[in-house]
Amino acid sequence: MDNDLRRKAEELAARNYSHVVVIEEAPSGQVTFMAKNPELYGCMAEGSTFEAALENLAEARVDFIHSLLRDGLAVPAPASQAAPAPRGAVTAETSSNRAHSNVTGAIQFRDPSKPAAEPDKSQPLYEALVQTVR
Amino acid sequence: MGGRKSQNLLEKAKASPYGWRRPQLVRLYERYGFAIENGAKHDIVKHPLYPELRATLTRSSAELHPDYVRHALDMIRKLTERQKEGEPEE
Repeated sequence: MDNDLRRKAEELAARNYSHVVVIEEAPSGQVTFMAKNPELYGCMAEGSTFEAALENLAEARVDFIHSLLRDGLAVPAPASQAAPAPRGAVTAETSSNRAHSNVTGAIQFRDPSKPAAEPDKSQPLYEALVQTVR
Repeated sequence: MGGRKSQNLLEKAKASPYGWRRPQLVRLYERYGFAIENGAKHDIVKHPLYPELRATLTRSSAELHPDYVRHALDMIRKLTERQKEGEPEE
């Protein structure tokens, strides 16, 4: 029974949820990446890199959806399923608008309709806060 | 809920979301009635009376990303609002 729910959770979690990655430098100097699915309030995972945060989020999303299913609650659909965004639209959240946060490095938005530009490696962190809505 | 220790921990979270580790955040959640449930890779924090208030929580013992603490504050704020809504009017 629980295996069935787990499989269902994996199927639902594989849908095209949008995600946001927040980079933050703590006063201690530690830089961490936090990835979230805005459609799933509370679903988040951190990582030491952009990719690690997204990989961890994929695992966290399965656990999160599994817990919703176990409790008999509705699983919110991906936003892209409800209202498709125009191609190339980007959503991102930065911690720069938080009074007690520090943003490290530059933030670049990538437009999939254009070839990827060479990243500016003079910045300590680059191209890390990008989310493309398909 | 709402005891002095809970208030102190809540005030600490409001003062700074940095430098927190999992055991401390779990204490904050538990003092406000949230339960921790084991997932396969991540744990789930949820409130038994308000199941929409839930969040994933890493099992890492390292310093937490401050958004874990910010989210806990947001859930506690929502919990307090819901509890006030549920109180009989004077």
